[in-house]
Amino acid sequence: MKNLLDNEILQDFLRTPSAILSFLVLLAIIFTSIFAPWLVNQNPFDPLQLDLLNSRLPPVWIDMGVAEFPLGTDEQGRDILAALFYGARLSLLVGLASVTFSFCLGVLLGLLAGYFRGWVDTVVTRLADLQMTIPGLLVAMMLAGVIKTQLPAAIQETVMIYVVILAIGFSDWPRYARVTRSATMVQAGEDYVLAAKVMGAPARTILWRHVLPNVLRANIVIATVGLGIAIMLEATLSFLGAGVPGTTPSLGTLIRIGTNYLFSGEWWTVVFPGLMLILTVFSINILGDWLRDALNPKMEHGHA
Amino acid sequence: MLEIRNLAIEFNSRRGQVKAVQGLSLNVQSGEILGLVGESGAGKSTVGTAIMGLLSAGGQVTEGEILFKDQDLVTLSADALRELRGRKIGMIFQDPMTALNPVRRIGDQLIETIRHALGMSASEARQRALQWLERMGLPEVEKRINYYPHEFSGGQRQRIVIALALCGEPDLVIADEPTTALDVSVQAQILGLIKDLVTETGVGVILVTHNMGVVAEVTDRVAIMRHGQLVESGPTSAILTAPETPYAQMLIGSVPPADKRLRRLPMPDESGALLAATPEAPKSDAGRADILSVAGLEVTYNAGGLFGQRQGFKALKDINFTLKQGMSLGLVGESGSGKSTCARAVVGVAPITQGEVIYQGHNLVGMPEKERRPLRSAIQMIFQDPYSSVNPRMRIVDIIAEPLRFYGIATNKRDIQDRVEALLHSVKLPPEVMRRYPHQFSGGQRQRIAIARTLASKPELIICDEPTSALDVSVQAQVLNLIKDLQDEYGLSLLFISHDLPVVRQMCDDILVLKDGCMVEHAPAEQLFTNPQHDYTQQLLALMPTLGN
Amino acid sequence: MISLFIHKLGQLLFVVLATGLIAFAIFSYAGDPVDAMLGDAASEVERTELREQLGLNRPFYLRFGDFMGQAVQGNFGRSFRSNEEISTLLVERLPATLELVLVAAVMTLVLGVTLGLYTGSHRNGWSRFILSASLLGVSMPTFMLGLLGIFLFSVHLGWLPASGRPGTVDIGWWTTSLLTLDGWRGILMPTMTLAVFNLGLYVRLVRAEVLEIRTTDYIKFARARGLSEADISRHHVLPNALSPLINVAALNIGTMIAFSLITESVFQWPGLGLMFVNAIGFSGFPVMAAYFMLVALMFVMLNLIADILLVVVDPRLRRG
Repeated sequence: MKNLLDNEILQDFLRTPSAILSFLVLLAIIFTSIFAPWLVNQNPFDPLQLDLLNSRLPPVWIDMGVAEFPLGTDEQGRDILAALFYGARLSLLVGLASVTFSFCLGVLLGLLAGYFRGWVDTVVTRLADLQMTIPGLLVAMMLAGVIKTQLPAAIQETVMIYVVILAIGFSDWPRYARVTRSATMVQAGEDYVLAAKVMGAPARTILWRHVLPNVLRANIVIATVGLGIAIMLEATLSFLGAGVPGTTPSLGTLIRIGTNYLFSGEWWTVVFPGLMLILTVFSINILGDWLRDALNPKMEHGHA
Repeated sequence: MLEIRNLAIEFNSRRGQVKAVQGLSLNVQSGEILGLVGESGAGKSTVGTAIMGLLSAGGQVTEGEILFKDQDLVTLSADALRELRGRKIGMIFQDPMTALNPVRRIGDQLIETIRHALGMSASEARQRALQWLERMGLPEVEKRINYYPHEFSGGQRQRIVIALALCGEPDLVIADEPTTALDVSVQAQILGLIKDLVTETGVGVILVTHNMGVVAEVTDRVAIMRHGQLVESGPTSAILTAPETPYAQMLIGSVPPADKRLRRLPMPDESGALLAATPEAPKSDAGRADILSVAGLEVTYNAGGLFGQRQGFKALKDINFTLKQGMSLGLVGESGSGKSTCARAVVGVAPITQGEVIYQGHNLVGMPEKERRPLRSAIQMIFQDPYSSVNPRMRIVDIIAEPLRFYGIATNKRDIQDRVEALLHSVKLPPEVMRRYPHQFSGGQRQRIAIARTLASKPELIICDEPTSALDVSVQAQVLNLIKDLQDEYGLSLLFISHDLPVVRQMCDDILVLKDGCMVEHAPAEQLFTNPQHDYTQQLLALMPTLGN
Repeated sequence: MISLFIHKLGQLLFVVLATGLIAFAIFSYAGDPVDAMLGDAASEVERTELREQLGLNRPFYLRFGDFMGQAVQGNFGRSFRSNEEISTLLVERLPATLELVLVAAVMTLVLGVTLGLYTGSHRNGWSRFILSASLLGVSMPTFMLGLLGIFLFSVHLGWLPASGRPGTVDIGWWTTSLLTLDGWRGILMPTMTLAVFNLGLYVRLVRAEVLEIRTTDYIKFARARGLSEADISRHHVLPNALSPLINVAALNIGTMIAFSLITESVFQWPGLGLMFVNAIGFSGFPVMAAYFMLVALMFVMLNLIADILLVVVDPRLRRG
């Protein structure tokens, strides 16, 4: 980032302990997700490595727990600690992928609607409004559930993760579109856009070179919030059984499996993935909050 | 009544401590209007808010005293200060559109303030509120006291704002740019109102403004500020006719005179010496070719609809004029007159529904883009708002190079750099500027950058759309001088749009007056100013703020 | 004014029709209910017969028209699994969901506005605490909260029931659980679960609005006239905050109606959401479509009420 402004943001970051802490936590989570195979012995996604004899073991500090599985195991013998790392990896991947999808779709539609106005604007706005009356959860569930029934059972398992990404991604595009549209309308009224028109630049050049870089900033905060929402949405879908297949469990799937044993007091399959989930989203939200305040021009003196 | 001694104010910002005001001393008596003048960043508004005790977060008085009737406001507690506000010291805000609570009736807002300041009963306060509204010249007060702010015009709202500021019967009033957001005609009324109120009630006023014309019109004494410090102060007439300090001289000299045209405005040149204020005559059109001619031009917005049923709004009706090569034509009018629309029509970004725009023999109306493209390089535009006319996310070099690349004038990096450097030089900016971003520059500098971009394609015709209206008066003078320099050097033809008549007198040879989209008068510059024919033109000239009062 | 009302009503119709269409289209292409109903063992003949009977062979627009025509009269057909009238099912389930959402909504709105106003006007330790707590609240997926609640209060402490809707009383066609102590014990955890996320959201939104208002010129002018902070908060900040607050409240309640899906699943709360989730299990498309349309209807009505309230509150919207 060569821009002086971005340097200021870095300064602000270094002055905010909560932001630094949550960034480090996230970094740790990402690190464990990427390097999971080297950090734990078992790959919980590989059925060959699971042994039912090991199932439902409690964490190491409780009677009957073993050091090999420090946080206990689930009903299939999966090492909870390993599952946390692999599951987090899945959650993060799905989250990032769906946010990217939402972002691209929403920003594109927002640009077109805000710049060309007219019928394009009407159509996009109506669609966005229509979709926004129905909360994302329902949209994602519907999409995921329906596409699932259309797939032949054979490829269902491998394709399901893409379906989930698509469903979650599609459920959130209106937010990006709305913000981009307003920002685009503002930029389109600016004189430098007019200068480009006077010069004779075609619309696509103007949009790409002049408008887009100036509307990206508004979307950054939306995207960080969106990431937290996407991760939670994926977990919710998996919990309800409409998400990723059970053989590659995400944190939500683990919780679903664990719910059955909650009443007999076997809490570790629910609590540990749950805490991991909350920790991840909480860190993202803290960073997102800080980012929003840092990018807000009104917060010149450190407070409004 | 009010005496400020050696005041210093500092602000905490992301970039550290900023000294907004230093070593300021001035005083205000009852019954007088003190003008507090300066360019942007001078600290004049800060002084006003400091007196009220309303400095924004992060600001504080670090030195000095503000003595109001022998009480030092700086040392007063927050509660005590609040007691004074509205009752003893009042403030008139700048923008009438945002200064009033939009969801409460103006009557309620007035009554609330009166009751708080004077402790009256509800019915007494209401009577008083009605009296104030009448005094402000608002019609049908019994009915209108129950209206909401959005039901009034801008000028009426400002009167309500003044009523709100004064209904607590303060002894001192701070008016922070009270007429800047208003049309010229309304401005005159509001200033007159303020002057009357001072005479009637004996209140003391600090009038903060950047407009020298306003200063000349209403103030008794004036204090000039620069970079947070007091530069000069004294009786208005003395300062305006014979300023002593160089800065004051420059400031007053840069106001375009309304009564004559100068060769250049008397600003310091590179060596620091003041340019001479030599008069010059407008150019004559003898022996010059037509470069642009507009015939029967009509522009209609929002016409059409799915079945062509919408009438739309005719922004321009039947406009005709001819611009000769190397000359400047001024388009004058108030807001809504259509002058900007005319500019946009010429460059091809307005919906022309009838007429012709002929440039060097080619009719631009209805021309397909392919044919138009080469002609576009010859017609360029300078915009009003320097903060909006350059893309904040592009480096200066890319901003200026864009036309070079687009028209294929230069393609390799070296060539582009050389040309950009040359262009920066012609607008008197150093080459180091190239790698930086717009937010690192002031308004005046950005306008120069915009001008450099305009020159990149070697245009012959430049449309100037209020190019200096958003600039400080001294910066305006520099930019206007620059435009004239460039016109002489490159033989440019100018279409100059402005609402500011003295500026137009400086820059233009011919003038076209517009009102509500129609041509009202068209005459050579000197003739228009000395012998206006149409009523409207005469009206405009009468309202022109001048220093020579 | 009237024209605005009609316009909004038109929008309502449009949304209901659109959701009905989408729901019906997707569900009719999404799977074969005949398979679900008859199982694998059925013969081809039986299948064809059933198809004829259900009218599944007719062209799309006919089936849709039929569906909508019936739907408008409140007749959604019968559930594939239980063969109950879907409309009966809806009426049965509606009170559970509405009460859940209502209690949670009241909690969220009242607490949200109070805390939001407070944090928007004060910058102290309490404010920071409330904001951090709300940030945490927004980071907790509803189902997670529910499970933790069950684990703590039902399994460990045994204070509150883990599932079901106890203590119901019939009033006409409505069943309420708010009149008994048992009922309140049963509804407590589900509503808290539903409310926490939305409370966190609402507090932040209200605070943002209040902060925005505090930076306006008219608030500065009010201060310049010497009005006290209390007066400013009451007469200037709050009235201007109502407008955006109403908008956000509508959105919030809508979100809660959707999230009740999750809460009802976790707590086996016998409402519309649980009905929907169960229907997914047996591919009960008419039930799913009916749920969808009903929920869309509720959202639109919420927005309509919000719009009407907005006109009442903001004088700028009257007379255009």
